[in-house]
Amino acid sequence: MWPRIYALSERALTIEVGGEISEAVFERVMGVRRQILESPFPGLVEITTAYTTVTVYYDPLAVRRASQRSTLPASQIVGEYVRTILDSKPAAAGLVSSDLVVIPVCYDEEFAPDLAWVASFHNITAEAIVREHTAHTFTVFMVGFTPGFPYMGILPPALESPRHSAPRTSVPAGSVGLAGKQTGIYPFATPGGWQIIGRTPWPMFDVAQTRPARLKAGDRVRFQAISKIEFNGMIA
Amino acid sequence: MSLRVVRPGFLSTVQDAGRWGYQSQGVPVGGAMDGGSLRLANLLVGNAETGAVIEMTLHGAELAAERDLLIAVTGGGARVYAGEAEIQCNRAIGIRQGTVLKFLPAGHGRFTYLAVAGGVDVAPVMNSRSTYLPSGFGGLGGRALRRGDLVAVADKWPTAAGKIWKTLRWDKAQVGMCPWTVPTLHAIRSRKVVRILEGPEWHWFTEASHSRIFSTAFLPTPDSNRMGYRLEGIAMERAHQGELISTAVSTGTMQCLPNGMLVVLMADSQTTGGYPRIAQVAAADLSICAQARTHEPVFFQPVSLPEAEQLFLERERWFQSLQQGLDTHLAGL
Repeated sequence: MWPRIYALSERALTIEVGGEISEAVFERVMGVRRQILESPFPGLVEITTAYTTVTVYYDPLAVRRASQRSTLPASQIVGEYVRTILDSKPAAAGLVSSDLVVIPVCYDEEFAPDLAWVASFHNITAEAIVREHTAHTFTVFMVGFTPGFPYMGILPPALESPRHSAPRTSVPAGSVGLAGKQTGIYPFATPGGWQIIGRTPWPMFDVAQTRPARLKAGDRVRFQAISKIEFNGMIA
Repeated sequence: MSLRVVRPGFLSTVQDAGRWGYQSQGVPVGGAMDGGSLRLANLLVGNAETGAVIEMTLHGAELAAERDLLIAVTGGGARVYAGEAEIQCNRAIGIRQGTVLKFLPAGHGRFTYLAVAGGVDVAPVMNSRSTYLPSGFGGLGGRALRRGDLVAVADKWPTAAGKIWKTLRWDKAQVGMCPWTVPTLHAIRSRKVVRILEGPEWHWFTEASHSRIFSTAFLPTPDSNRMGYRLEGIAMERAHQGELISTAVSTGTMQCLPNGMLVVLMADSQTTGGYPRIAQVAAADLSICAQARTHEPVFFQPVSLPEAEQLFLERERWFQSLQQGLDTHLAGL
């Protein structure tokens, strides 16, 4: 069944490589992205990834101009390029960088309105929740929802928590949350339904940086507990 | 500084053709909601098609020219006056220093675009001058225009603009009219029709839902905005249960919410989503869709992917031949 290729629009094609959120499927996603980057086709504009998919955005005019068979629809030309790339040998692993990022988080009550609830949901202490959250290295599966918002996982059962049934109208920027099997960080104050268990003083999206989003798909993340004093010292 | 905001109107922002290459960082392409009108306005004043303009929502804006300006107004979401004189859209217009442009209510349409020769001059953010309001960056300080704002326009005019200026015929009201105009891209019909492709999750919905999408009207609700238009209309029904694992969405993607209501994602929408994508607005019809007002009935018609691509390419060719026609005409002057 996989890979399954379908048009998202006249200008975008999606390649689905699996049907569940898992490290194995994610490795395939990253692999396909690497393959396309290694052999970009004329007319390729950008590539995005999600949990189980890679999406290529292209310029239909440029695709048709560059193709020998310019009477075919661009979606078909791109579909064929993609199939050829997928059938060729996997790309060199080093093509796309992946960083280990240690993110400071203050789990103090003031920044963690849902920590007590999550702890009681799991029948353990808040300290135990924090220990679990800081013990694992998580994979950034994708960045979406807002600029710079990282979807990270996969949470161990001890941390898996349901979302709020009614989202908060505003969650403070830097809030660290849990939802289902994912953990994430809100770069901006926005509505949010995740369980908030801490806050980071680090900006997760900064237009002044060459690459404004701090995290990217494929990065590995660990959380490090800091005190409120340290938090106040770090906040810009 | 070249334009002073006397009154900002409902919502006015600096927009261009958007920013490509940042979706993997969660940054949507953004840009003008009615991309066709953006391009047309720029072409008329001799700018590059993708340059920065002012996008005005509905009416109420008043902008004072702090120096002589070559402008063009497109989109049709407002009636435009230069001082006391109503000015036509789709035509290059010259206005003198001190002229106040006023944007009054029109009977249809949502957005009006004001292009100025040289382009709106704000610092680019991630290679674009488009304003992304939800995160507060781009355009003029990442926000909507406010009373008192001074909007800079580049000092240097493109060569074409200089030639167009020389063709202007000035009337007693001190408004200069360019001799040529361009017909509106999309005829204003009494009935708004938008063509849509079957989305990746089209088959997650019943045949009855498919048939209802094409036989009933959908009306943008008042909480529609640059991120998306929520539509009021008959609820869609699922043919089978199942959740969509969050994946890419794009401008024009039509999602179906858990309550069966439709949302059309627009320029500033999120880059990923987990609601089933029942349909996709044809790229050639995105501008028509964007111009739908609150409570205006919108009717959808099916189009296949090859047909939709043809429509897109025809539209591109239309712009290319317009640009070529203008270049040729100006070269001959």
